[in-house]
Amino acid sequence: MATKKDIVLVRGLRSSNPAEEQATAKEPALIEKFRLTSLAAEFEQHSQAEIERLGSENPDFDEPLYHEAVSLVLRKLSQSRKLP
Amino acid sequence: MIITSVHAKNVLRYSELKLTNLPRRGVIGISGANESGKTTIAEILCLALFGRTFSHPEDEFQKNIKWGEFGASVTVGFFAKDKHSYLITRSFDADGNHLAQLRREGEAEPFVRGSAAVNENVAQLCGFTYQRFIDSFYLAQRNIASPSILLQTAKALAGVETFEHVATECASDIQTFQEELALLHGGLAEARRQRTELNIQADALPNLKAEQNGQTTAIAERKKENTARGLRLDRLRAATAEIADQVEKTTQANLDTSLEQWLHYADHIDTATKAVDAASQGAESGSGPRLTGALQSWSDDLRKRLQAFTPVRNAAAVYRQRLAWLIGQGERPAEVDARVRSLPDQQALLLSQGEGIRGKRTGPMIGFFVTFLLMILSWSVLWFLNYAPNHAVGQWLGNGLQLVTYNTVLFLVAAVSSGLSLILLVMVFILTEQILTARQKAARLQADQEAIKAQLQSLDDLPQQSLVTEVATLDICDDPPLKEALTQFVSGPGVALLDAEALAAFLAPLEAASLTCQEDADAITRRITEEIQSVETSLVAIRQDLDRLGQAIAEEERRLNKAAQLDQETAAFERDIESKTRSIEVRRIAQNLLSGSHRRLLSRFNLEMRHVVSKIMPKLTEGRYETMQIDNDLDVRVWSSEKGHFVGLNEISGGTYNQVMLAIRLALSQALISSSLCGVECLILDEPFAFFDAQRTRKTLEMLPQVSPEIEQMWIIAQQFDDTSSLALHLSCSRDSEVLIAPVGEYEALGEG
Repeated sequence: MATKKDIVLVRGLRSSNPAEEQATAKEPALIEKFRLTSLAAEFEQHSQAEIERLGSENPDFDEPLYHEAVSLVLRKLSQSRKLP
Repeated sequence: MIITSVHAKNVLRYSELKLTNLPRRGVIGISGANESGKTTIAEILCLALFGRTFSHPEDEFQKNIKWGEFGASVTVGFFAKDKHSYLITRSFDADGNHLAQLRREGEAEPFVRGSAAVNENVAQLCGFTYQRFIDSFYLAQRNIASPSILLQTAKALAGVETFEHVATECASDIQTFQEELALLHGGLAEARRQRTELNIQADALPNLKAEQNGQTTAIAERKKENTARGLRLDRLRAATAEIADQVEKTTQANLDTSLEQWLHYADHIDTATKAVDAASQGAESGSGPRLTGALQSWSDDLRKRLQAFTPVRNAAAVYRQRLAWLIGQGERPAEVDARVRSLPDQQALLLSQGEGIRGKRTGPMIGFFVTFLLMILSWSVLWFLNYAPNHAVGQWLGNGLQLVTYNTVLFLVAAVSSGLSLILLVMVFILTEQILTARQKAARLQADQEAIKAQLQSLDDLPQQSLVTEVATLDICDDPPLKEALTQFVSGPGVALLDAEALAAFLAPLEAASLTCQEDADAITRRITEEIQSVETSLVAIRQDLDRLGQAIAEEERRLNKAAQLDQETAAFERDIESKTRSIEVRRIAQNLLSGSHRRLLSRFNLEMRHVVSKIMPKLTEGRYETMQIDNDLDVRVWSSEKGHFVGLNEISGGTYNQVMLAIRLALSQALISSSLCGVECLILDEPFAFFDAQRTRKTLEMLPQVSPEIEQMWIIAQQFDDTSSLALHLSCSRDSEVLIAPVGEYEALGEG
């Protein structure tokens, strides 16, 4: 059991002035939002641009193959995102 | 996640740590000298939430037990992103036992038990794992100065780690597929080798089947031929027996044999010989001279002799026709004069004439009776008148009638009537004689007809009579043409059939011919039997060949099935190889696309990091440094407002370095909140103000609550806080105390208890 000797100084400091607390709360946050890009959307955009570029450069470009690759990555990304 | 309470016993340096009613918003300051247990509080939080501390990995949790104690326990209350409050409790001992449970606040029973299950549920409730918590929300003193750790976290939050994970999976897939490809190529090569070894010829099976069909057909044909031979053999035997039978019957013929019987013999011999000839004729048996030649010659001779009797029969038929006509049967023969009447006609004519005479006789007979009566009457009257006048009659005649005067007249009448009566009587006799004569002639004609009928009957019966009898019967017929034909037959071909010796001589060759035929038939029978046996022998050989062909076909079909199976395997291998190759190609493309997206992702994340850091860093550095950049090599550079360009971290002071790192940590915390949708969070900063002067510390403390709307609770560990006015709670730790309880009332209640 704890003894009196073990007591350390504990100070609970909460503002007793509601107006001050309200004023503090009203101050705008420095960071509103960290805009994280959706991995799938980012990948899709990049892949689509790449597919269009390669398609325009090479008439024999195997577009279905690339779309299959995109689907594969999206599927794997989806599975990865399910993990915590 | 917001920490609402902490209660630990015998953990690290604390025998008891009890913090209740913790403020959910604001800064919780923890101060104290070195080794006073400040960082221990943060580590106890980690231990409760994740089952491990920053100092000790999960498998060394016993090291968290207070020195000298056997067991320890910790309970932490927290407010999760699902807006519910939970209590997580872990107890463990030096023997390695570790109990964990998670329950909702207010509920007596936990809904999860066991360390792994509790860890998993905490990760779900909070939205992050231990590592992510360490990287974002718990800035430990020891890694605050290590940008690489923070930047690894940045990389993870940016999603690069996920991309790398996917790329690694792709690489692993490629490795697996390549190994499978090697196996598939091996299998394909083996299948092709076996297929080549089979050396399948496309026309081999059709040829074998054609050969099989040919042999099957040959067997059927030969069986059919043998069946035909057997039938022919049966027919030959039957016909030969029939010949023997007929010859035997024919040789029994004698002078009593009728013409029809002779013809019957000839017909049967002909039929039997033809049957023998038909049975004996055949390509396989050869087409030699007819074995029935002698028999047929004899039969022909007999038939000629019998045919020589035909004119006799014809003449007899004419004769019979004439006789028949004579008795009123049939038409008049052409050679008979038209004036000649048949016997019935003659008879009818005679009877008619008789009737006519009879009619003519009636008048004279009546006249005779009248004259005769007149004569009797006149003579009677005369007698009475003349010779008995006294008689009553005479008197009556003489006196009564007065006829005496007519005596002369009466005499004349009597005389005339007597003469007429005589004349008429003669006439009646003559006519009666004529009638009788006609009747006699008619009776004779009737007798003649009866005789002719009898003769006709005998003629009709002749076919049933022996030839000798027939000849004898015809010989007595009164017909010259018949006699002439009969004479020619009897003196010619008919001798052999009408004379006993000649008949014996005629029949003698028949038996010899029959024997010859029998011998020849036996020879043919033997030949046919040999042919049947020969065919049976060849059939055995054909059947053996057929068996061989069947086996060869079965073997070829087995080989074809094997080839088809190998073709299917080859096709499957080729499909699999194509599929695997394509999968590898897809994954290589995926890797390339991921690589491109990786750079793009980092760029975007860095941009956002710069944006967020630029909000914080000027506040922390009083505007001396505005923003930062992280290149692809994770090299961090900050923008110096004074110098007007980016400078490396090695070019700034230690305090500024820590400020930059704090800004980065705060940005990463915000990124984690955004990435895992954590809701409101707490942030633990262990000694973030090292190398900070008092003014910078104060300004940072003022600024921290304003960093993010989501970071409501901040645990800040420092040597001391010069000004505690901005703290929501201040915990002061002491090296001399193993117990820390807050609020104080709790202790007092404990002490009083």
